[in-house]
Amino acid sequence: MVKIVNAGRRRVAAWLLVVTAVVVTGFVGFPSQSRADGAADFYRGRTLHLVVGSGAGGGYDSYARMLAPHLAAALGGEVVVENRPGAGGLLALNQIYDSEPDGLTVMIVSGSGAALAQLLGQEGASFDLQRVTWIAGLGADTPIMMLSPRSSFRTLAELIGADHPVKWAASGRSSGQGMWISFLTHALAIPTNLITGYKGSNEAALAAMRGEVDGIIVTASSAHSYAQEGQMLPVAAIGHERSSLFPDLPTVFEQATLSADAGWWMDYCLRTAEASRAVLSPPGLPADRIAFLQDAFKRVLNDPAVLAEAEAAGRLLAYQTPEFVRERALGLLTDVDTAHRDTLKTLLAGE
Amino acid sequence: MSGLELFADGAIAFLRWDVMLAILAGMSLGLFFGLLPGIGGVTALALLLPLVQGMDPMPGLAFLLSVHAVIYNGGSVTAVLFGVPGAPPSAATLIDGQPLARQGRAAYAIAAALSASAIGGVIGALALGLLLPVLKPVVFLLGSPETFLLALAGVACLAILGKGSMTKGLIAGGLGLCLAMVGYQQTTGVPRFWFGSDYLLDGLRVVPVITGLFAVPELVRLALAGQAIESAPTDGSLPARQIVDGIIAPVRHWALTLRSSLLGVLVGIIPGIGGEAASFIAYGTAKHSAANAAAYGQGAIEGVIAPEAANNAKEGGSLVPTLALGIPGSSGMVLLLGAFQLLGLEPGARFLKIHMDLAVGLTLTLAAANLVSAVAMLALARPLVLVSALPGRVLAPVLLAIVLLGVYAVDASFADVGLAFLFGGVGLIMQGLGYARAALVLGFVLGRLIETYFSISMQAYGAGFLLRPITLAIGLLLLAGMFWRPAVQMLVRRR
Repeated sequence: MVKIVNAGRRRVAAWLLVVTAVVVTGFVGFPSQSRADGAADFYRGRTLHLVVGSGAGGGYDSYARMLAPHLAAALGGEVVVENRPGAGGLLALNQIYDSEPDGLTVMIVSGSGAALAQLLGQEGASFDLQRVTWIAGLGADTPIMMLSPRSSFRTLAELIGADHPVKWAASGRSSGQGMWISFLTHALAIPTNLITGYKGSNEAALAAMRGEVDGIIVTASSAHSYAQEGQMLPVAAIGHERSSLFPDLPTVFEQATLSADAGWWMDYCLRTAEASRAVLSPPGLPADRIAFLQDAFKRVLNDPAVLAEAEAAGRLLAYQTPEFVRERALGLLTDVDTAHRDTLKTLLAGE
Repeated sequence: MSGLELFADGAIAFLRWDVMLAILAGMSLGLFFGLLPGIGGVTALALLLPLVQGMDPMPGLAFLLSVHAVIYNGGSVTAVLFGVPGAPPSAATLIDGQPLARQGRAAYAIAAALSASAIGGVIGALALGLLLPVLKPVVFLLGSPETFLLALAGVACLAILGKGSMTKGLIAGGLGLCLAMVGYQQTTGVPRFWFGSDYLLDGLRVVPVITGLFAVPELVRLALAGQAIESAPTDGSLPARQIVDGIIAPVRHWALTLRSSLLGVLVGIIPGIGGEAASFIAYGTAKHSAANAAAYGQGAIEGVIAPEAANNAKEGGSLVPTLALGIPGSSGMVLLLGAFQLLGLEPGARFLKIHMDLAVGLTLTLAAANLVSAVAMLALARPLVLVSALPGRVLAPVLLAIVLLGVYAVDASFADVGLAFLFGGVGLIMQGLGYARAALVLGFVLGRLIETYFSISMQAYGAGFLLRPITLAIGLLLLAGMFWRPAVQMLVRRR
């Protein structure tokens, strides 16, 4: 009797073992399948934090708020826009870089601003762009050089041949506009007095309209509204091709011939424009969630309805692959030799 | 198009049932947010902005503008009753509002504050309306040198803001100026005094500083006293009588109300200066040119009227650069611009040509929201005054909890709450030693402005920037506005 019971128990135990082994093998043997579903399942019903490194109402903020509902639909969850102003976006980037890599936090940031802060060892920048996760790029807006109607200068040629310093306005030397002005005027050897400290690009534009400074360099979308009623005069498009918003405006290359070194600076300037709107996530994200986020952004940024909405709001939106943005931003970091790096430091640190 | 036709168009755009509804809704929300200490105009707007999507332009904008315009009204009530500023600009109101409440005349103070707000808001809207045809030239007139001058005028008020000696006022103001230097310097981008802490990289936040400085000492005093704030009125007047007196007060002091409102409009037009500075500068200017300057700080009603009128008038002013150029005149306007874009509009010179009726409609909205909210708050004044009759040991913890919630809500940061407590300690020390906290706040708010705009003006115009004709004219006007009374007194004495 005991022997039979023991045998029966042993059989049951053996079967249990076999079943368990099969089940475990099943789980282990088909990992990718379950995890891919896992990413979609993970995001369903969860909240993605879309962080913006500036206050409510700024350029990055408007993009974030415009994209949020569409992203929510693509991810199957909620998307909340978070404003973390401070240090021109660097503060937020520091925080994002150190945050939990669970895939629930992404940030829209100027990849070029971050790259330059890291390159020059700016105080307050504790991130490493070579380790962040790149999700997408929102598109490059052609910078447009504009002059005030009250300025004594009228054309790019006059600026190049100026006999006294040309006054420019920007919020800061490391802001997008400030960088473009520094690089461009250095490339074209325009004597320059860059006045910084304005509260934002809007205030800088107002200073120019008022005649306090001679000119500014802003994105084409902003330039379009400033050019209304002749408040500011567009002088050159900064790119190899003309801007679609200013089809009659010749580019810098069409108006001036550049030396080799000047060419390097112009190229650098253009690359800062191209990486100016990057979507990042902390380093160390699981691969499937990276792929899911990248795919979601790709779908949203190519959606005709979203593109139409952006155009109606006067904002440029053009999908850039994460590899492209990464390459552009990191190129700003790595393609700089010592001589150029020292000049960069002087230009961006100021007198 | 004649002015009358423009006005008629605007009135038609304005007088719609959905616009009226939007104003009512916005007004109620604005008063609610205003009563909550810590949540200022900008936070409230940011929270409500998504609601506007898909609405018609006029009701949507009317809604947001109403919220923004009346937040200070709610804030002034808590400032007077509890000594807790509902929004940073309301901190100036409590300098004389709190003593009045302690004398049992809270209803008088609140009524005067609301009435001054309404009148100031209407004057601001009027100024905006009158300036609509010439918005652009006006915005261009006021540049960095003028901003520097106005900030300087504010500094001139530092010494006399408090009840103590002028030296103590200067010391407090100087401390405020030093505190303003923490963080990135605006012109060079070099961080100062940040001690390697990310939190300090962008400077001390204004909400925890002001809330801690004013609210915490008041609440501590309330908790320690144990009794209610409001004792029996010293002059035996009934609340109803007080309310009527309060409503008439700004009208009786019409010159002061007008001056403060115009100052508010000026501050609003200049994009660089924020709302906190406006109320303190108005208070200081009023005290400078007052015959009864010694009474300020003990419960002079003028000390309530001046900042309140300036506060609300400022909103009309900040719409000027917003509508004329699409350049926001204040942080609230930044969000309003976002709303414009959400609704598919683009403010700027072209906007005024095509949508002048909308602009006029917005002006009318501003005036209406100010008037209606003042009436609504007055109706609530009586019950609110009753709240202040609760014993201090019950009220203090509740208020402290609400205040800290408001401070936390701004940036979801516990560091802010810690900072509020830190400045609460500073405030207690200052109160004990007789230093004016208002002077510290003004110095703190103006510090960055003075440094930045001085630097910009020097770079743009060279050392002679003060001698430019417009700058000189505005400078002389400000001097005259502040010092005419002492100057006259000196002349009279000589004779």
